[in-house]
Amino acid sequence: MTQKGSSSQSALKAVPPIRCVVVQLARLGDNLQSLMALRAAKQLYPQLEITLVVRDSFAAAAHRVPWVHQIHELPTTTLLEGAVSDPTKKDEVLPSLARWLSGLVSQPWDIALNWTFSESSSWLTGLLPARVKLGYSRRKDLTLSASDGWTHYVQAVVQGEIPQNIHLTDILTTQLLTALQIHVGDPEADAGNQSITRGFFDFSQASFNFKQTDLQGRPWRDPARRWIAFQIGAGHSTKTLSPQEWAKLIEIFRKNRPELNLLLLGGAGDLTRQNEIRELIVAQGVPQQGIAYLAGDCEFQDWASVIERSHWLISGDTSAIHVASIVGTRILNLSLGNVRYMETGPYGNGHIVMRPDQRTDLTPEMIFHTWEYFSSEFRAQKSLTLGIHLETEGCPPESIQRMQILRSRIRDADAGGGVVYEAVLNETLSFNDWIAQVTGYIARAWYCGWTPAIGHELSRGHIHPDLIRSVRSLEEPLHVLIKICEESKRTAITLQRKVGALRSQKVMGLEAKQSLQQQADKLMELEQLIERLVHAQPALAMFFRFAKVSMHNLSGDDIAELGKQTATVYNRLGQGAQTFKEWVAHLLSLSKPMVVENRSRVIPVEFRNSTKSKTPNPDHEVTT
Amino acid sequence: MAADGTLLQGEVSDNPGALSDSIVIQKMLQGFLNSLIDEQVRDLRKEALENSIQDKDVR
Repeated sequence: MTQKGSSSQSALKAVPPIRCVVVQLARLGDNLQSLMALRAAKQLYPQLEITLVVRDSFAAAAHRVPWVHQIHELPTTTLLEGAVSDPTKKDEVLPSLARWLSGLVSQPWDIALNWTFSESSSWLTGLLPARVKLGYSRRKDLTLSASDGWTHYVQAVVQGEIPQNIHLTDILTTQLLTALQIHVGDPEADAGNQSITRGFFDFSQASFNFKQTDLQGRPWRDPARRWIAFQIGAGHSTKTLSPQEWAKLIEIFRKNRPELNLLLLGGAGDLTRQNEIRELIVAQGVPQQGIAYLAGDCEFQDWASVIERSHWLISGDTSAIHVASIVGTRILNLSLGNVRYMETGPYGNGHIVMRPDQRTDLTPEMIFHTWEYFSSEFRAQKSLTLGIHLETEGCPPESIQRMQILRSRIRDADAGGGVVYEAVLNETLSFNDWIAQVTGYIARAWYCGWTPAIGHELSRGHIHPDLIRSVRSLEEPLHVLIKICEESKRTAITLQRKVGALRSQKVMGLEAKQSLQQQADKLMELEQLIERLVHAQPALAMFFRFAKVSMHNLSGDDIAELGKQTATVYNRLGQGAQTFKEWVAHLLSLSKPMVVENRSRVIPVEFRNSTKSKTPNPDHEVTT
Repeated sequence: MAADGTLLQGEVSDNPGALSDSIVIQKMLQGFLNSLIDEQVRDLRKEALENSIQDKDVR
């Protein structure tokens, strides 16, 4: 375990530290999103003493964050080396794993936070002694447990691949801050002014050798030159451009903006891709001055400091966009492949997301001209819209029509907070995106207790006949769903009452047992009804998944308590369905024709012989 | 303040301590190890598949 120093702030204020262990065994991108959420909590609760449990191969980011107290690295590869190839060696690995774990179980934690949402992490969290546990864990009977609402949301909706529009960073932040508010109390009045707001990463150890030759004859430290970084790789080849497309994009940048320095970034696994891009660029006779090929050449701190120094990062769905979000570099995110930008896209104000409906529409030319528009936004906005700009630059109109281009914005606190992506091209809303808005809204209503007005981010410009048709088809199923939830709630209350009337819940007469069984069977039938309803109308899938997850996580010791909790679950689901119905009504109301107030005024006629120049009075109609 | 405090407070224990039942500890450790191995194998397969796709792209 690496200890990085004590919390001097908490010592000064004589506030006891809140010992918090955070399990994050996923990849670098998830680590970075967790760190962003932890920073928000640390700003409000400086007494948080954070210990991170991370895989050794993805620990680099955490080591550069000065306010993380300890890092406990899981040496996955070396620990599992033998057992992966030979399952009979598992028993030999077990003692090593127990030794690794011993440092985490010696003293109870105040909060154990599992932000990995995976099977393996649930076992680890089950082993940790803690006053409060959030995220997946294991009960003593070894079953999976997800005890809090936001974890239910991740399990039922996010992992169920149901469209939703709350960014993962916002989910994690809200989950932790709410738990802190419940268990610790409100933050200090002056919280949020701590020094950690100034810098996120400590780059003092960055050792990257900015050789002059790397930029092909240009000095690195030239403040007059802007840097554009290109993250050329991704976790999957479908999530990034092909080498040919990257080469073309670099060529276009070099031709149109020769003054810029262009930096190609990537991991060691991207070297082949980088070499191919370089060969293609050289073959095209593109001048190499000001182009640096850095893939595979950088440690984390060097890579992140290059991104920080850059004015823009152009990247697919990679951890680079999270680094850029943290260090405040503007991002042009190419949202390609099976990616949900609303959950893992760039975080902050003014980032751009390009999401093509058809992959072939996202050409290097389209990317360059979109970047060009936003890089000189103030100038461009005065004269023309993005659509006209792209068309003027020769992008095919049908590709423009099929392209989604969005800009990120952090909502005001009184509008619910969090990041939102607003369309700047083709404002019409897809059915899935509308569902995402409704789902996110219902979650906020359930877990935040306060929501802005329904559909406050929707306007008539978003709607179209296909959307109206799809939304209208939900009216009847929602009506049925609300009825099922009401009936389920009634049945659960009846079950609870019947059990409450018994002398013993364990010993009872045959008649009483049959009566309870009837209620239980009825609940099962009602759950099956929801399943059938969702099968016919998949847009309502969140309700079935929530019912399943919530039922699995009932925690009562007896039948009466389970009945009571079941009633609470169906009450919540019914409220959610009612909110969904209100969203449907709101959208349909937007589609209705409205009486438009006639604001046109009759322009007064100026008499030829008038000697005075009169100011027209728009309130007076002129009769001649 | 949250709408439903009970649903947001997480799993609460007034007297947390390391698990005392050695059988439960053993089973949880085994579960941890097994799932770590499963995930590692899955990652390796995914990587191999991705490499083979990239090889095809290059060819």
